[in-house]
Amino acid sequence: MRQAGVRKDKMLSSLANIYFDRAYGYSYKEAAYESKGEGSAENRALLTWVKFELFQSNHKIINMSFHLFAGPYTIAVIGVLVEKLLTGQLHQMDNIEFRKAVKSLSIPRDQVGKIIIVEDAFFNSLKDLKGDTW
Amino acid sequence: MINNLNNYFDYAATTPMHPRVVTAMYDFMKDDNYFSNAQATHMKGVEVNKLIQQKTDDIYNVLGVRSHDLYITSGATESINWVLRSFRKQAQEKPRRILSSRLEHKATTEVLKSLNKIDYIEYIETQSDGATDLNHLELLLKTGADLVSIMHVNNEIGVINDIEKISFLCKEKGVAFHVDASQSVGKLALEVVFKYADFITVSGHKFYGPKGIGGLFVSREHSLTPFMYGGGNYLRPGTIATHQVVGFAEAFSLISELESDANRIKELSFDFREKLKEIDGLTVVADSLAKVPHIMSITIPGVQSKVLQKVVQPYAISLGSSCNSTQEETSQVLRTMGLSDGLAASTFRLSFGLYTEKESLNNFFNLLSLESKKLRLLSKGAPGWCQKGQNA
Repeated sequence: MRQAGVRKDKMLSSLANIYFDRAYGYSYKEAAYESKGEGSAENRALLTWVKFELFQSNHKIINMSFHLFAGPYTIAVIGVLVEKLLTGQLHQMDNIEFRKAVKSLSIPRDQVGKIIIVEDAFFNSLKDLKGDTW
Repeated sequence: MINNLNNYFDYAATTPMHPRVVTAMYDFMKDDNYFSNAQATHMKGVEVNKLIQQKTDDIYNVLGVRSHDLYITSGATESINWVLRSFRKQAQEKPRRILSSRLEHKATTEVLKSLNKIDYIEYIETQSDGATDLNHLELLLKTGADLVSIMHVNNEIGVINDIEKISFLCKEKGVAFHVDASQSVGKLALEVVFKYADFITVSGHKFYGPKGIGGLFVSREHSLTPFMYGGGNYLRPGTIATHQVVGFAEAFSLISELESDANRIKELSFDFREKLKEIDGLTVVADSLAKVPHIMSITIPGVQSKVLQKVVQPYAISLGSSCNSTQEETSQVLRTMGLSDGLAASTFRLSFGLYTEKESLNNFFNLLSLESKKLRLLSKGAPGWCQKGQNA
């Protein structure tokens, strides 16, 4: 029965749940750094605002913090970034890998715009960092 | 079943079936004497029909209703559709004029949207505190109307509409009056509704009855046009869901128990409201108005309720927003009350019932306090539209 029950797209996929928990459980830890870059992006219609702060030392991103006003899918997308940071790959991060990882979250079509906001915020902070000392 | 309800704060969405309702329905369903179609003319059918008549009379007696006829429907949505669509323009007639409020449930506003192509639909203004503007209703009624449709208790914010005053204005102009009482059965005395309204909608699952059954009470001074066509009853065709009627009647028999429990809920709700003052930035929507204590709509600026709902699991709380293909859509009720989209997205509803206990509310408060603090920190530095103000 197509109309019965809860709409699937209203629930996070199990992988998105994992990434949500990863981002939500992430806590920024104060550490020495050489320089930092920050950037944000927002879309009022999507009720989403995201801001990143990236910290670098020896031309590597060594730490990250984020702030947001967003829904669970956006937080799950940020969880992908957090994982890359925690596994030490953030400095190598490229767009394709990120998109691939995000695809596996099974984000509903009407929520995909939020990926772009996270990407924009992240790359704005990267740009700010590179413009500074990179 | 009942033991697992400590974490359930969504009684306004639906209530669990009361054990007495379950027993009554089960006993009825397993009895071979009562499986027959209530409209059949053979002996078994006549017996079932007699029982259904008896159950309907029980409902009339519980409510003390003498002036209305009860039509069994599949729920509030069908009842509301039936009333509103009965008032739409018929062939060769002039378009009709229906007055309602933007604070109504979607079961009303969506039907009105569909009728708006042919008939005149106008919305009564809402004061900034969430009350229906009766002066505006009076003004609208001066230029004539066919029907006014208003809910007794708002399902999102719990505000009680003054049925007596609205009815007075309608009667003065000879305008029919429909009250959606889905949220008021068992929470408020219904005498005033039955005294003043011409059409009254109720829904079984909102007061511990089964889902899939509701009722439409129609004053004997009014009539309706059929909403559906088929066999059986001319006005509401189809085989009567007899087991549902049994459960529905049993739920009505709980009304005095529910109404006396309202005092307990009032105390719980008051204590919880006091505790909420400890949470920074939190506001209760329409806090200054007459409301049922069972429903509380809460805003925590900077904390999207979708996220909050997830992090306070396993507590069942309700959201005020949904999304469509191009943008997030926040609650029309909250937007009508002047909340910005950011604040509306940061609003959630708690609703209490028979099995809500103080201890579970205290535990929920502790978790809410902890998680909202964390989420508010997370939204630190967010632009103004996320956290405050009215929409431009």
